[in-house]
Amino acid sequence: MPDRQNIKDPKVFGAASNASVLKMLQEKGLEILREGYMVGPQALVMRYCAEKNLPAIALLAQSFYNYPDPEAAAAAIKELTNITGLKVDVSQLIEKGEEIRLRARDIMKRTQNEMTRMKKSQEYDLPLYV
Amino acid sequence: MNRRKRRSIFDIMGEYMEDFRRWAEETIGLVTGEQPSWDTGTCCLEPLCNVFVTIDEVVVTADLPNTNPDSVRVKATGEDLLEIRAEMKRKLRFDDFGITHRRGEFSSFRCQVRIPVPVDTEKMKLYLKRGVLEAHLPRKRRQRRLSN
Repeated sequence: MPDRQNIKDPKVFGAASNASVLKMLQEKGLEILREGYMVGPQALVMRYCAEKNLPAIALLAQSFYNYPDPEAAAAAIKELTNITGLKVDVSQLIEKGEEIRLRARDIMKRTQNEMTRMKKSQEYDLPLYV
Repeated sequence: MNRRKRRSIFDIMGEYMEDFRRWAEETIGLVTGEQPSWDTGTCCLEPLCNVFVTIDEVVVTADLPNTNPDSVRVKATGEDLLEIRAEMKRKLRFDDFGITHRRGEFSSFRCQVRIPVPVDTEKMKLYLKRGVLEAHLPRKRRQRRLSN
């Protein structure tokens, strides 16, 4: 998201493949993704799960869309622990955030180049809803 | 009496091999357009950068983790070039990335970003939050009239 720098605690939004799973997310206090659209592999998985009526959820954290964002990843994992009850310690992910960003620099650069090659920027075009 | 220590033949060969490797990498980079994002000669890492063009301005962003905010410098080095420099809080070595077959350390970030449209660099505004630099450059307006 464009003003991620100004967000201290990234919000996490939930999406689900069917109504019952969506209700469960709401009961867990998760904000539901009501506007916008999903793209990429997770969108495809969600679509197939919806078609086959398989329960699936997607947790989407507010993040830099062009830079590695360990804080956003930690926020999504925290919500997952809230939903599943599993305990996952994300303190190191936050503490070592700067180091992770440095280490992920080259792979992110490669991803950016691939995105340019694939004309990924089309993703940011305004969609035509009918 | 001081006696100069002689370098062994292996040291000399190692230096030649290192020079050759550097030359080969630079040449391959020039041909393929792919260059490493680091420079052991200047001890610099190239940060991730992006350029966004809006109606009113150009926004250049750079990911600068592990940097001292006071050391960040941005200057226009040409009509359409912006140079970003920043010193790291802690020096990094290849070992820190788990790389053992290279030697060298890095103490700063440096990159040059090409601005695709004319901008007024005098009115540039800089923001640094969460290790991400934002440089806002207002676009130069060129008014044109429709001819009959």
